[in-house]
Amino acid sequence: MSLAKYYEITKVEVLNTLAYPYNLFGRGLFIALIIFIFFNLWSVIYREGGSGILGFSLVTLIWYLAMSESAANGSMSTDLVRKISEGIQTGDIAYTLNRPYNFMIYQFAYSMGTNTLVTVVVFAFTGIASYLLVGPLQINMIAVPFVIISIVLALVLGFLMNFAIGILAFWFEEVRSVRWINEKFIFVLGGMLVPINLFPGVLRQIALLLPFSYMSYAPAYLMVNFSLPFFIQSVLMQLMWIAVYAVVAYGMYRKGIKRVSTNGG
Amino acid sequence: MNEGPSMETIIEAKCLTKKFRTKHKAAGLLGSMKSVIRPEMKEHIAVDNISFSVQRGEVVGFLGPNGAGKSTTIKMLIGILFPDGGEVSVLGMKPWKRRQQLAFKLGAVFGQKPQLWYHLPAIDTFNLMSKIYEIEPSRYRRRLDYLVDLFDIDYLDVPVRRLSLGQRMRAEVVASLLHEPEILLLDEPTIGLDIIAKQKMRDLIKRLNKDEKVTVFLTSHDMDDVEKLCKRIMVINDGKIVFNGTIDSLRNGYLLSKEIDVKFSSAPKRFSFPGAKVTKRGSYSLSIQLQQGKGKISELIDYLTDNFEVLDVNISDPSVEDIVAKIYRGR
Repeated sequence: MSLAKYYEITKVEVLNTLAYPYNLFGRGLFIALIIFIFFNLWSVIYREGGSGILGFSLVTLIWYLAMSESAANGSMSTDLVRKISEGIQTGDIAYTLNRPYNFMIYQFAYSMGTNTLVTVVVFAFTGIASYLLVGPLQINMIAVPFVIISIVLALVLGFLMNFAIGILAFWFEEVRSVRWINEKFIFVLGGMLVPINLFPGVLRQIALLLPFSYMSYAPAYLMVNFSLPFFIQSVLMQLMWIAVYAVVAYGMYRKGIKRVSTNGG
Repeated sequence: MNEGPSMETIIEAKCLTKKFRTKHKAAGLLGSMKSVIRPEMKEHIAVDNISFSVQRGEVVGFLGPNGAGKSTTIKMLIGILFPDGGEVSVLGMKPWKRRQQLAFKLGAVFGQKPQLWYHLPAIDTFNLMSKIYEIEPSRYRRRLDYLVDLFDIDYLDVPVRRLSLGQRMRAEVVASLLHEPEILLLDEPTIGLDIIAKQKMRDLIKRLNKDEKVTVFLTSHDMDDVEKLCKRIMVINDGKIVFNGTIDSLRNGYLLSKEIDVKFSSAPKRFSFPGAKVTKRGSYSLSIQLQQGKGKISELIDYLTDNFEVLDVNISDPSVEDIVAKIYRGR
């Protein structure tokens, strides 16, 4: 199997995203604005509640949010759910079957380039915003490659989630609601809006078992508060969830594609 | 083209059948609820026991009204639908078993399902196709140069969204030809094109067929396409092949009448002639249909000139479109 074709798909989709750079920058700017709002909110809380909340200073908290927003946005960036579900509903998905590529790897290659690009661009914006608002983050340079690994795995997990939700269209007519709920889980249980450390005990335990926190919380927390044990623990959880979602998503795809009885005569 | 000792069958369908089960739902809320609890499934035979073959180098028109089973048949030929009965072989392979291998030898253009990336220049899609179909770079270069020249594509670097429909369709066809397919499936390749663009597309398809001996399997609702391109046509209706033969034999077999339009200088009196039927009546004109074998044209003309003040007579055959429409309606 030649991997060159998948690399080319990644490249073409990145070019496609770059065809409208203002969309990308607009997104970055919007998230940077959210960082500004959070900064104002948390500034008040920190002024009232002292200097540190559960190990977060205002600086680390804002930088945490800069990364949690970037990773979560990256993994939700392509319209993969819409693309796959529409393909299923119109029957067009059948026409991809006789192309000499693996459908799932194709979609993976299609998503990953753009998801990475969005993560990087959004982080550029939120990073600048954070820097202007709270100053630089003291970061251990040794942590950088580990954080990158965590981000990549978060994006892979995000891809598999979106792929599986799109494939649901074989059985359900409307999957956008599932996608919407899933995103809200990432917002809240994934720690995109508030670090999981601040959750009450049981909820924190639950959140750490669910996949959502490994798409947003894990890379962000590693960036502001790196520790090798948490890296190992979170990477193992990421790999476990990736395996689960990969098996489920592929199984659903195989089962769904068997019932391709496309519309139209 | 489809005669001589070098005939080689490259598509063969024998008693091919495909059934679909669809959920049926009574109208209204009650019907919806019922269908949730106990869905009523109805079986629909989309392709009903059809057999045909295509020889290498042929250009075959595959016609049928909407819902007749055209797409279902094509999907079975390219291996994305499993037949429920019968057999099909394309280039010696069973399509649904080896659809990916077959893909390297098939090119397909679905006029309503573009494969070009909309926001990018066509060259990006071409490069992607060359990788997907694993074409060796130097070979790809040569092929691209040849096709770009043949299809007159001087807009390789323009984003597809800014191309005219004609330009876009030409680029679509090029994208499907890069890997030098042996069979080209064209589904409505001229849909929406203006007359000039249509003619150009037809000329190109003809040339490809002649120069590369690529076999063309064409579906179109445009009878002009079919008449200009195809030596042979197959008509499918209600899942069955109702005609399979040359355009000439279609004409001869189904031309059972002549159309005669007559103009008069004064209002015509009562018209009556054996085997003739008035299909349209104006105050100074008549359109007459004469059944062949029941009346003679020459006698009809004599009758007209003897009894009426005739200004002008125009005799014509029904168009292929009319004939095919007749076949669609089950005559």
